[in-house]
Amino acid sequence: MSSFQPGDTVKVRNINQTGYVRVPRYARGKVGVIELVQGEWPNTDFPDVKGGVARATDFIKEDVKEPVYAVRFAARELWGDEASPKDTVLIDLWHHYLEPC
Amino acid sequence: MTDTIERNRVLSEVDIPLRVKAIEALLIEKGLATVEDLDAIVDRYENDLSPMNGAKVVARAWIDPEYKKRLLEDGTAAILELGYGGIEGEHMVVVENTPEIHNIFVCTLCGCYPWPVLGLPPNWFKSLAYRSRIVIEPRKVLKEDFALEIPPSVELRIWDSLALTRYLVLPERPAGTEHMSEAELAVIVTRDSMIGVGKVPFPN
Repeated sequence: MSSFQPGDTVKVRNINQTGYVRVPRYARGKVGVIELVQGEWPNTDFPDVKGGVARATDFIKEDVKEPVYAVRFAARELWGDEASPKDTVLIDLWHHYLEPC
Repeated sequence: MTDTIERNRVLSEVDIPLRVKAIEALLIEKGLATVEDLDAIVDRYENDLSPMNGAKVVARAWIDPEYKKRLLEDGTAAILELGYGGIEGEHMVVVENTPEIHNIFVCTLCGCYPWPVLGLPPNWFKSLAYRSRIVIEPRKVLKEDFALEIPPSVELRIWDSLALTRYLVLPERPAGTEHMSEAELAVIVTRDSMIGVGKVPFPN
């Protein structure tokens, strides 16, 4: 996959799968800018398992890694005009949560 | 509905020791750990890991510009120079507070925290109220809960550590501390200033 670079504008995918996912609801569909490339790590998402307890270790492929970025969002992009125009929220997000924008 | 509310209830302080005792008893009964193992773990978290470690990192950065440069470029390696690393500290990013920019970190997902430099997190750091409100209305939370007023001209940056990176805030060195040694400075650095919910007070 082609990775993003600091300064790139990205949009957070509106993911609503059940199970465990680390993209916070407050950032879904929002537009931000790549601030830092934090590293390359395995995807930690895993689905709900019917009739059983899902264990992360059943799903996480340790050898399949993808970039994780700190993505900068204007507080007003997340919360509207009530927020200070000076403030930003920086969220660590896996590559597959993001699309170019 | 009742079930959902019950599961989302924040544990009261009365519940926690009982729960801990029950889990300890189960671990021992099932042969998964010994009393000595558990004592060693508790001892490490109570005595080896503490905000004093982070305070030493901050004090070094205040007196040594070269160290500060390395710390901001590669936090993990620079913190390891002082001997601190390991679980929940494998990928450290240090962010610097200045008169123009004030950084705070939070984990809105659970309560991820840089153990090697700050020890275990305070209960409020893991509370649903802090985790929700600090991203939505940080200025109000800082003012009401931490008596810290951030001027409108200062940029607030809230870092939400949802992945493997752990953050440490490098607070501003108080004016009037130029005469102090590294060891003296380390004593005045507070835990809250390294989370970003406080400033280092001028020493009395």
